[in-house]
Amino acid sequence: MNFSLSKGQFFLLLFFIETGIIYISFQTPLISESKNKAWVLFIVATILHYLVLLFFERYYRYFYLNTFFQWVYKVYWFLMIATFLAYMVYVLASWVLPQTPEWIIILFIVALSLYGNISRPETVINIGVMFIPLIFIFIIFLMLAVPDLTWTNLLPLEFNNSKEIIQGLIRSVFAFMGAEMYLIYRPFLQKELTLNYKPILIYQLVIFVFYLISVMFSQMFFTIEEIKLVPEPIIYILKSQEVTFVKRLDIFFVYIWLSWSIITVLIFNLTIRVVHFGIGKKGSKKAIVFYHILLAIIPLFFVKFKVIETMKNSFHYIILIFTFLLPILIILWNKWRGKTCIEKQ
Amino acid sequence: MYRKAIIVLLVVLLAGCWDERLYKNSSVVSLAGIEGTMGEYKGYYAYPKTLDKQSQIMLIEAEGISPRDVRNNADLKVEQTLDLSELATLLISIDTVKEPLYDLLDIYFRDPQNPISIKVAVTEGSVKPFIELTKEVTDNAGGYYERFIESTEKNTIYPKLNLQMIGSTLFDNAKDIAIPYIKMDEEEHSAEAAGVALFSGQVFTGKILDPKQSFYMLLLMDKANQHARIQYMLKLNNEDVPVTGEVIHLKRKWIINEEMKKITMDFKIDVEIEEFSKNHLYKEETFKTIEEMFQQKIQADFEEVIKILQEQESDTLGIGRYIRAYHPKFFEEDWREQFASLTIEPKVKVTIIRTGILR
Repeated sequence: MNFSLSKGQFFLLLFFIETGIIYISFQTPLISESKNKAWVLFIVATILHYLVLLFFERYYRYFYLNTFFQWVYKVYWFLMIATFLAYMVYVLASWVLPQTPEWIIILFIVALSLYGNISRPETVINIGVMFIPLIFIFIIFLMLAVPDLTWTNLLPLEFNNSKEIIQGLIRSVFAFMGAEMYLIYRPFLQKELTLNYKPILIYQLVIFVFYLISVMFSQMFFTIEEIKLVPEPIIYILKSQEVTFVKRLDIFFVYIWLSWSIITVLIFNLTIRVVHFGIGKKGSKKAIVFYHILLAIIPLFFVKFKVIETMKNSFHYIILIFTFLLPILIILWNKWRGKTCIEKQ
Repeated sequence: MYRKAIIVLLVVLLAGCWDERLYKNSSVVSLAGIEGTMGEYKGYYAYPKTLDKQSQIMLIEAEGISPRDVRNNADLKVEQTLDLSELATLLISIDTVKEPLYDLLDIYFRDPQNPISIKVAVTEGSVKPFIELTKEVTDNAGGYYERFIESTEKNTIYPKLNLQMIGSTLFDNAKDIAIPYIKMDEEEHSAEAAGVALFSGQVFTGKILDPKQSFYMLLLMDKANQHARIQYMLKLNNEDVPVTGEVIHLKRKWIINEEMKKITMDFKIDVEIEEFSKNHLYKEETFKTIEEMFQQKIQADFEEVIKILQEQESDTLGIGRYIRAYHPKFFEEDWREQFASLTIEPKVKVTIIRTGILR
């Protein structure tokens, strides 16, 4: 696998990895668990995320994955994508396509991923650019809900319940799923480019504003008791808005989200490809096709309410391990041993 | 390459065939009504049908143990499946809302095809005559009540409300709702805006605020809409004179005294005189007298509405939300009971800022 990334491409990849799929759903568990202070805890989690990114930037050279950890991450990403595919199908079936067979939708998404992954890596890397205007359109639509927001829902801020605070922080971390891929793609950044705290801060601010809008809007639109019943609050907010040019704004956004999430799936699969085939090696198409056949079959077993609920109730812990704890441990271990991924090249 | 593209395209095009819904195959309902109690509901659905090149409103009636069951049974009586995706208004009988309201509304929130920005109103007695009425006056049954409610909202009689807002408030223990109430004018044989039905939590309190009380409740809520007209018969020089003023600006400030369990509500209301046949508003004395009389009358009406709300334990003003946010230690979980025991004192300051194009 041989390609190089500009700063823009690198941060765009990271943006799609971190925001795709979960953008519509992470608000519900966060607000349900941490109540009115959810938005403050999210700000704290964002600061922690920024510090982690700074740490990753400083020590990314030490993120060397041996064969064991390569397989650990490949299996982890595969299972993540499989469950996320199941979730995407579940959301589509609930909101837009209740009668369409699930396998058709999975086939459609996996076919696109297969196309993207047997093409040059640049196809997957650059495809996200097309969706940037759609994200702005989405924000504009969301602003239609401003008159319906109840500002007092953001208060009171009481920090005397440690369980709520810890749970809120852990659920906030869910928003930054996939941050470990910073370490995977960082070595591909063009050699002459350097990253210091400033571009990372700008990226962090963009993603922070994008997420904070969703958290605050969900909190102000729904009461805490109500949001427990609404698994996809952002889509629900859009459903309640009336516009003249389209009957259901939620459908419009579900398709934007679907396209956006498909890009996330493509990037996850590219990451597996990068880790599996290694830097500078050309991958076998047969392996990619076999992988996608598996990807088309496994999610079909997960498209059930109970599985989706279990996923929502446990994934934040898994993400905490694989996105933050394990990479930090691997970096510290390799730093102690003096082993770098650059050496591997 | 082309083969791959064709396969991808086919898959994309296939997704959607299963979920195609054409209006020509459905009875598109614009007005629905429900009455009865849990286990014995009765539903009404009005939809347009073209007979002899003329559009007519058809009415389907069905019974069932739940709102969904009613709809299923109604489906058995039509040649095309009922489609509620274009629903504009939902009417509910006053007797039905004595039970928890969410029981009726769950199907509207759960099914993504149901619009949640629709209007909701409570009717005096059965909803049937209200739905039948539309046959005579319009070809869009739901649109008729939607316009009816919206115009009353603009006159600050009904609160600006839709199904989603109602649902959201039902889950809030610090605020209650007041839903538009419609009664039938038997003589005129027309629907009439008759105020709002007060709720305490999920259930109707049994108290209706008449249009005038509803208007003052909306002023207390700081929700004056496009037209907010205050009208009194004032005694000037031993003569009864009708005076009408339009609220131009309203400023509200709540002062909470936690120790004394007292809330002082300061209102500054700027009005424009719209009707005063005796003129002479340029005379300082007349001007001041009207301002003071307005002030006293509005204050009395505010006090009357607050008293009713407290008696009914119905915090439609959202005082609970304010206290929960800014005075959390003062807020009790059983807010409605606490609301009823508070001392709430409105203080009104009226300023006439315009007198129309006459002095």
